Amino acid sequence: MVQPLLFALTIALVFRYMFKQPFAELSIYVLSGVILWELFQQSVLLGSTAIIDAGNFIKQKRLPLAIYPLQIFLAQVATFSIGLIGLVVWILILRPGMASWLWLMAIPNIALILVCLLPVAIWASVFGTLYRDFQEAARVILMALWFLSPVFIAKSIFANPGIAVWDMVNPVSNMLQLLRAPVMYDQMPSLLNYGVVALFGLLNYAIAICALRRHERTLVYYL
Amino acid sequence: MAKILIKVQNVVLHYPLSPLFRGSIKETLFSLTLGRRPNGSPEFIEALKSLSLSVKSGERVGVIGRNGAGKTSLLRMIAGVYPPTSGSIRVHGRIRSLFDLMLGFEPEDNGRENIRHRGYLLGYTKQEIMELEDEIIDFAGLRESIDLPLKTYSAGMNVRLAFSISTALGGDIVLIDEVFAAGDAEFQVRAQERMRDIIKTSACMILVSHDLETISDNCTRVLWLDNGGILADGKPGDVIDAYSESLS
Repeated sequence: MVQPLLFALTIALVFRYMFKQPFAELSIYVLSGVILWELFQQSVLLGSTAIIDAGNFIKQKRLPLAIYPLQIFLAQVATFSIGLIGLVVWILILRPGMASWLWLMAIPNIALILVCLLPVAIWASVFGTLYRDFQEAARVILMALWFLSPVFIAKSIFANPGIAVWDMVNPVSNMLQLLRAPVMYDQMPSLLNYGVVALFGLLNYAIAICALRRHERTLVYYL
Repeated sequence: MAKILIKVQNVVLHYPLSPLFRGSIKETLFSLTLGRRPNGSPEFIEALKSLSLSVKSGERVGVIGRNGAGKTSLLRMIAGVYPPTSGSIRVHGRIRSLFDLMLGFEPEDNGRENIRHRGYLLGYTKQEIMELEDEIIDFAGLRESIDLPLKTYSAGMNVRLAFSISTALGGDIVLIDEVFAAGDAEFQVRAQERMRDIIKTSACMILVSHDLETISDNCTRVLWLDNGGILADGKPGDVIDAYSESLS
């Protein structure tokens, strides 16, 4: 909780004094972005080593391999939950007027996000076992995605015609909107937001199921 | 007639070598784009070659052979860890594997918590762990230190606790890979007795060891594995003598 909050405060203070951005709204915006981004990023990066780290267990006892990345994902969900509590407290301290009945809509939205992100850890664990440089490659891609998503960069930047199409189809951007729309802007996310996130989830499940079906039997030889 | 608990039929086990040559995204891209594959390199290593074996209830089978003969591969395949490339394995009964005694230990947690970690990993239920906890602690001789973090234990204490947990419950089919004795001389005597009890109470046992005396003392049948196949299968005295002759 401390790390994303400190990051949000740092960015908000920098933007407040350098770019004259309002501190309260910006810190809430950044904090909400960072806690969701951390969930996604760690699902990929920590998930990618889940099976490798459990190598000694796997070589002793046969269990469904999906339980190892699932364990990682559940730990990240716990961290995310603490971050959400912090976000709520932060909003109530800085902008209590933001609280509304629409916050209840954030609950099923968050559930949708979690359901869609669960298979990410699973396919990351398979590819992370098959390819030893997967984690490094994923880190580079995630770094690019970090700057190409409205995690801490203002959403208005992504309205630019050159990047608006990308923002429309970017699953991270849409997941962030599922969280921010009811919590910060007192509005429902658009059907496009739900659609892109759902499609992203389906794609993740398809990749995870195919990866496990193809490789689960022989992954033990890669350990 | 004794029931067959383990039936291995024409089993072949190939270790794929592709992890070595295609173990990175970079190498995969190179091999896809340039079609590069090391000249004359095999696709796999044949760890077990068309191996057939039946183990009946009551049998204590020892497996001997040089390093790389396929002993551990056979054990892990029976335990379900390695899927056979072809052939079939049928196992009837609950398997208790003793491959890595220290597996599952968390150095930051105390002895009691590690009893639970290791117990769950071995398939014990919560009820079984609660019932066995005192017996495990007493057998390991760690009553005074059990509530201290594992990182404060000596190597010997760790091994004693690990052995005590792993052998607290037997199973129908016990698979043992080179973990027959542990700890100091005094503990070894108790450990040997515990192992003999496990072997006696299990329906069948397969023991892999380089210690021919241990094999001779505890087994009713011995397999000599060489190059992935069974070279000899018979009475301990006969097979061990033949194996010893081949070494000299």
